[in-house]
Amino acid sequence: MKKTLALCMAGLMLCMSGCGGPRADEAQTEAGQKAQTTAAEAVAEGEQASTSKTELLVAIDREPQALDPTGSNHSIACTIVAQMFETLLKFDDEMNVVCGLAESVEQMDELTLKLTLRKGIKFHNGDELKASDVIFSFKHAAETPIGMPYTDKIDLDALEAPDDYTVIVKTKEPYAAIRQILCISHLSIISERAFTEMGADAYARSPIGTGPFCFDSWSAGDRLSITRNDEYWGDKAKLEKVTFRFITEQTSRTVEVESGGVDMALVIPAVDYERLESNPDLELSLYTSLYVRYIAFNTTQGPLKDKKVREALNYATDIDTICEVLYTSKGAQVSTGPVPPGLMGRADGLEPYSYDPEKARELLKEAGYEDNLEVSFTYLGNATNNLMAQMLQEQWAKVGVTLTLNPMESGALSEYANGMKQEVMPVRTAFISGDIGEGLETMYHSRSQGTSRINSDNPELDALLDEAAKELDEEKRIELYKKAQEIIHEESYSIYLCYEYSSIAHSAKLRGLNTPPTERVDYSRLYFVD
Amino acid sequence: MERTTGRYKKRSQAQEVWRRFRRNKRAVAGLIMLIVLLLCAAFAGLIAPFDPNKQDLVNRCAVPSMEHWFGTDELGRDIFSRIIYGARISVSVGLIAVSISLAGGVSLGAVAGYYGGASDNLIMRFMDILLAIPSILLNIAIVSALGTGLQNVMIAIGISSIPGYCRIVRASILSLKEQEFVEASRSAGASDFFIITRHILPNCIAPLTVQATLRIGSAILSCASMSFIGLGIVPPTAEWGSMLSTGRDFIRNAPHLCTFPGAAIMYAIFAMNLIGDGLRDALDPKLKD
Amino acid sequence: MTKYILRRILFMIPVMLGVSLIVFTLMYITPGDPAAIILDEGATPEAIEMLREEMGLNDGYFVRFGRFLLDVVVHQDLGVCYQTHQPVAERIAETFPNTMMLAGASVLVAVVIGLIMGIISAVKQYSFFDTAAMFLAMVGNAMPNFWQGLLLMLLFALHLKWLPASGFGSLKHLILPAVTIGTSSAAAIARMTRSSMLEVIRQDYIVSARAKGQSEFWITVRHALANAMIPVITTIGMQFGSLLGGAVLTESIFAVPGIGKMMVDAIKARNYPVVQGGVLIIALTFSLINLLVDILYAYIDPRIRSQYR
Repeated sequence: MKKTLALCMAGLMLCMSGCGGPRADEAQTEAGQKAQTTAAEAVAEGEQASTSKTELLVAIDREPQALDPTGSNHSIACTIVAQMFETLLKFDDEMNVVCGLAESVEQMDELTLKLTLRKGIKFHNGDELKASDVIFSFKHAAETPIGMPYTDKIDLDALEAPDDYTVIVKTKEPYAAIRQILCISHLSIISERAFTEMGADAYARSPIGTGPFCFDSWSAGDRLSITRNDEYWGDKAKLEKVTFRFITEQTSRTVEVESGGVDMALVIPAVDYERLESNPDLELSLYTSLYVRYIAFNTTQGPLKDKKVREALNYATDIDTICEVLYTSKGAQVSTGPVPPGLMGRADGLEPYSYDPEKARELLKEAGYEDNLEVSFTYLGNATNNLMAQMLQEQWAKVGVTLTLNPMESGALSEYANGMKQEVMPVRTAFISGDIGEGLETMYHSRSQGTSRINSDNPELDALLDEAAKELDEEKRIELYKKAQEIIHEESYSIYLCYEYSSIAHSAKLRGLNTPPTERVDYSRLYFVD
Repeated sequence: MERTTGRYKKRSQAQEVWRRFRRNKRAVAGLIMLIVLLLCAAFAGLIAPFDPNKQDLVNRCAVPSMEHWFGTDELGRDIFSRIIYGARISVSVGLIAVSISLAGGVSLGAVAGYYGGASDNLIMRFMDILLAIPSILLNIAIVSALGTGLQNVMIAIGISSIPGYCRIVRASILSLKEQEFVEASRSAGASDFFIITRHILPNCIAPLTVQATLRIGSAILSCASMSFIGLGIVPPTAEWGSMLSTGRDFIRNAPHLCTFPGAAIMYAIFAMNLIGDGLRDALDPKLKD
Repeated sequence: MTKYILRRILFMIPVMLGVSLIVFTLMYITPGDPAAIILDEGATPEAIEMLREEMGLNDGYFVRFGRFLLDVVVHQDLGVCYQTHQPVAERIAETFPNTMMLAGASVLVAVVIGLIMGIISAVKQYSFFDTAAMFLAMVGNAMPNFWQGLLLMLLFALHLKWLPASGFGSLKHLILPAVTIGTSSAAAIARMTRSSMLEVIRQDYIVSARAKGQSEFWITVRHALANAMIPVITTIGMQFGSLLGGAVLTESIFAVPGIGKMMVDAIKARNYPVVQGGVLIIALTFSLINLLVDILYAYIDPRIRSQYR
């Protein structure tokens, strides 16, 4: 198994060099793709013979929203979408950009990408994928509130299809992360004919894409099934059917996977890690995700405008203990900066704030607060956040800060926070495009006021982020982002908590699980052994 | 109950009720349970060995021991102390929620029953509307509108059980309104308010008391449900419902996080139900509803 | 009688209107923006504004309520679920029968347990059995549903592996949630059965039946139970409401795709069309069940029947 995986990797690497570099070489790309295919086929033939079970039952923590690629921002919905739809480019397991529906990509000038589509790719309704579908998809995404943020750098009027298999994508300004953006599931290619015939609502309920799985059925509040696409252009899925069951209660989810009611369960609570790991029938995989958890200081609110106060609160927080209680040592890695590990351009040498109540008191005194600082902690009232809130309350009380807790339910919280009314708030954000710039911008750019929970307004930082986004020279770009991270760290905009691991518990008989940081598990690679 | 005219007659009536109540072993057991609960609530500071909110992160989810009788919770707090302090919250949830619905139900029911006509129609249709929405959904909707917090939970639970009281009061008023002693009082020039409070309401006390006692138990239970849904109290307040609902995530590893708060809730409801049943029998052996 | 039923049904129309108005108003004053919830964290203000406009959330109170009424009354359309884009009517049609089935099974559990416990305690009044039966019934009533559900699941699904842990679809799936909900109503039924049987047992015709030498079992079932049924039926009717309430939590624990859980999620997500539609259907069912209970009385007790003209 390891050997074949390595082969796969090699194939992907080759492919990456073809697609990812600024000047793509078509021949190389194809070679890479071929290597990957053969490797995967070898896997399939080697082990599939002994497989009897071809249906997978997965317990997920919530019912997805719409299955239109631009229908939802939730990770699980996007993952299900990614089984039925494909993007022009895609990430491999190591977050490198490789070819998807496009067989090659060429940088024409600093604004323009020329993408050549694979020929003969069929949608689930039998129509062939054409360049016009690509243009339709991008324009559709731009009209939806969820797709819009990902298309705003693309010059939609300049989208062009010189022939049925070529698409010209232009950005409004030079944009270094355009390839990563094209990998995001929101920019999956939808069928123009099917979409216009069915209408948005119906398409969102029974979508038609090009992916390795077709939509099968969806029963409200209960389950959603996808079946193998036998006409798929690439490696066909090994499973015939995957059914996702919506089980919100976390204990019930774990009990189901332990009692064999489902083959796989996502989002496993930390309290269950040990028991699941010691269960010989199950395997638990905890893998790094692109999610960072931090406690954001709303820099537009009262005392939090003062950098000294923010620093003091950083020193007053015993992050290690909080993370240990919330996630155990297995569920997360304590943060050392604003960016999760593994992303290109991440600054590694930031000096973390130590747990130093004395220093915190001093800084507070300098800022003019002595046992009289009162701040509120606004959060989504769930179990994890309640624990975090109570620990913070106790820790901060030691330096004379009164923390009032303000738990809110999800419905009210987003409106409240979008109005920038909160003071301190725990946040979980993903660097979902795998590009450092995208993530930093949504968290720290002044453009993101009302979206980010920090609402910073720092012209120097803005300028750096803007400049870096346009910088096509990778080294220079990385340098700019490192500088930006230093400023972010120095300004003490937030308390970094941890880089959260994603969790999947599954039957020991299930093989082929890939665990990319994007959480987009590729279900077509899964199979059972006896 | 001290308000009826004819002191002597009434006192003997109360004594009669008490005599019948006392003979009912279950009811007395319930009363003793309630007294213990009230004592815990009143003297929580003296009884509880620890500060209910003092965290000890090294000793998380410790099993019951000599030091921590009921063990410690997910933040290392002493569960026994939290349960003792929680008695306060639960008692006040029960009392305040029931007072709200009593106040609302009695006044609306009195107006509807006494004046009849349009006001009766309006009020009773409004009650029909409230009754048609399941109380848990109404609770959630009201708390969502008002915001999370103990106070709002009590208001919501109070409002959603108004119709029950309203119906009781209205029904007894309808049956009493035309009786001679009311007529007599009216012709003697008594005001409507006087007639309602002095003549009519005292006669509803029996069913109202029973209903109120039983509702205290279900108010505590509703509060626990609200915690489960995530609309309960603001931490770190020790409240049984939220302790139970937080504890459910640890039910496999540390079942005592659920067992003790759950048992406390059951204890309180048991006490109220026993008393309620006893009162029902004592107040009126014929009384059914 | 027919006239009475018709009048009751006619009365439901203003009640349903009132329910809609109250729920609409409650949701209207509730803080929270469905558009922001759909887009989740990281949504830009422009995107939220765009969606609000699209969803018609920027219109005033009366415009929105008017539009809702117009859609329901004139177009018989409950709208489309904000979250899943499914027509609300379809969504309710999928989830509601599950909840009704669960509620039905729970009533069955409650009635069986309640009647047995009630009869035992009445027949063996003041004995150990009486106390034990009443104690058990009360335990079921006093135990918070979600805790009881989890314990049952751990015992029967995980350790004994007799029953599936969660989900819906077969009789086996129904057992655990139905027991969880049913036990909380059994106490009320048991108590009612006990007290009305106690009353009936002392009546002359029971004494005479006993004097005639009929078997004790036959007397209990034929005479005592039958005559004690009316208050029991009332209780069952009244318990239906709390059953639905219990269903909300139990559906979450056992992942039952029912309307209760759907409604809670919808209120939390400010999914107005689902909240409105769901409440309407639930309220209608409630009212119909109450009517049914009243009609049932009339058939059981001729004295009551004469009141309905």
